[in-house]
Parts: sequence; structure tokens; C-alpha cells
Amino acid sequence: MIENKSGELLSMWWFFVLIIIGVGIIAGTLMFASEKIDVRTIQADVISNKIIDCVVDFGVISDILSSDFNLFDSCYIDKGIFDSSGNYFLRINLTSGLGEVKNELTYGNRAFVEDCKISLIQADNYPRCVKKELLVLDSSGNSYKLNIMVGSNYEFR
Amino acid sequence: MKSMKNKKAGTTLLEQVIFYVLNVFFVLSLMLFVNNVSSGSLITEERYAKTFGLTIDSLKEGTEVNISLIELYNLANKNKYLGEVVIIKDNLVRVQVSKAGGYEFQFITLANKISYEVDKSKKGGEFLILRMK
Repeated sequence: MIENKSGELLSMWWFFVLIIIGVGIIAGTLMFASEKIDVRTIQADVISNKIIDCVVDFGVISDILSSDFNLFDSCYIDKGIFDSSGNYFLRINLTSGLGEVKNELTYGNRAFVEDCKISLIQADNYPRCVKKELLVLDSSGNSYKLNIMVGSNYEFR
Repeated sequence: MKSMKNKKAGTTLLEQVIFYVLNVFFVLSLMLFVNNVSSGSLITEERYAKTFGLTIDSLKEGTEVNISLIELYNLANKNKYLGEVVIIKDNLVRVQVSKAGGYEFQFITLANKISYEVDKSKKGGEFLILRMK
């Protein structure tokens, strides 16, 4: 039986211990419950897949090389959210077989180019990024290398 | 009073009973709190809102996806919440299963390309039908 020296069970000391234990458990539980589910990597992956599905059709690149190509209209992406929120970054780079850059499109928060390197060490408030590289053909059969980099920092900025 | 006194411990029987009752009440309250938080609406709302948002961004043109909402409606019934459980408006998916709760997640697909409905007529319970026009 737990007693203090005077033999009192319902002492102030006992109530104090209960409060300390209760506050500790409640604080720990609330901290765990309030932790956000991090889906930034999944979101970046989903966006990169969406763009690849949109600009590449059975290995053949669409009209991304033409000057009037509009990625957002073609892929049904909301340009306002992507450009103004500061939570996303997208870079599409198309190079020829000789390494010559044919076209490069960059949208969103450009600071993510450097931030993505830091995020490799899993810094919490830095974006999570996905890079993809694939070989594609144009309608004439010329081969190109398509590099896509997508970064997302939604909810963690 | 003699019979109520525990001579060795120097405490009354009543004091001992209160002590044990309060201890049990304290432990049970904490267990109930932890259980409510871990299986409650906060985490579930966030989990479903993010699932719906990412599913919308994964949809291809002309496709449709059905997602079961049984867990959400069960929670809403438990919380006596009768409002809309899923609302998709202006690039935001909102999932709510209690009066005070609610969680929003943003998707990047054009909002006018997405349509949705909650089908309550199916045998297996409620389903969310997401379509990309």
C-alpha cells in the first residue's frame, strides 16, 4: 500500500503525482495525434506521373517542343495553385541524344531546386522531391532524354 | 469507529475505498482518452482527405473511381453528425465526421474537370464516386 509517513492515503503529494502522470500521458497522446501524415513524396510522385502520362504517349513525346505548348491546359493542372501557392515546383527538361537542351520548362517555387538537395537528409520543413528520367521519341523517330523533377512542400512550409 | 480504523496503516476503511476508487477512475479515464484520440475522427479525417486528394490527382481523363465510405459514415453516426461527410469544392477536398472537426486537402487538378457524388444506394454501404471528365 502507498502511504506517506503520517499514514494518509489521500495526501496532496498523491494528487500531485496523479496530475503529473495525467498531464504527461495527455500531452504525449495529443502530440502524436496532431502530427501530420506526410504525403509530400507521394504527391510529388503522383504529379510527375500525371505529367508523364500527359506529355508521353506510348514512348512518343507530344507537342512539348512547340512554342505554343501549354502544359497546364494540356495536363489539366491548375496553374494558379501551382505557381502562386509556393508549395510546388516542376521542371521538365528535354535533351537530344547529343546532350543539347531542346526545351526546358520551369514552374512554381524555384527555391526548391536547392531545397531538394537538402531534403535528401530528411530536413522536416524542406520539400520532398521526385526525379524521373526517360527516353522518348519525337514523331520523326528522333530520340530524346526527358527529365522531370517535381517538388512538393504542401502543409509543411 | 473502532471497526472502521486500520490500526496498522493508520487510515480509515472509507479513506482506503476512496483511494482505490479514485485510482481506478484515473487509470480508466486516461485509457478512454488515449483510445478516443487514437481511433477518433481527427486522424481518420486527415487520412481520408489525403487519400481522396491524391486519388483525384491520379485520375486519368474519362475514368471513374469508387471508394468505400463505410468507416467515415460509421464514425459520423457515432459522433451524431448528420452533415455532408465529403465535400469537394475549389480544389479542396473536405472530410468531416464530427460537428467540430473537418480536414481539408488541396489537389492540383483543374476543379472543373472533377465531378463527384456519394452513392448511398449500393449494397455494401456508402461509396464516393470520383470522375474526371
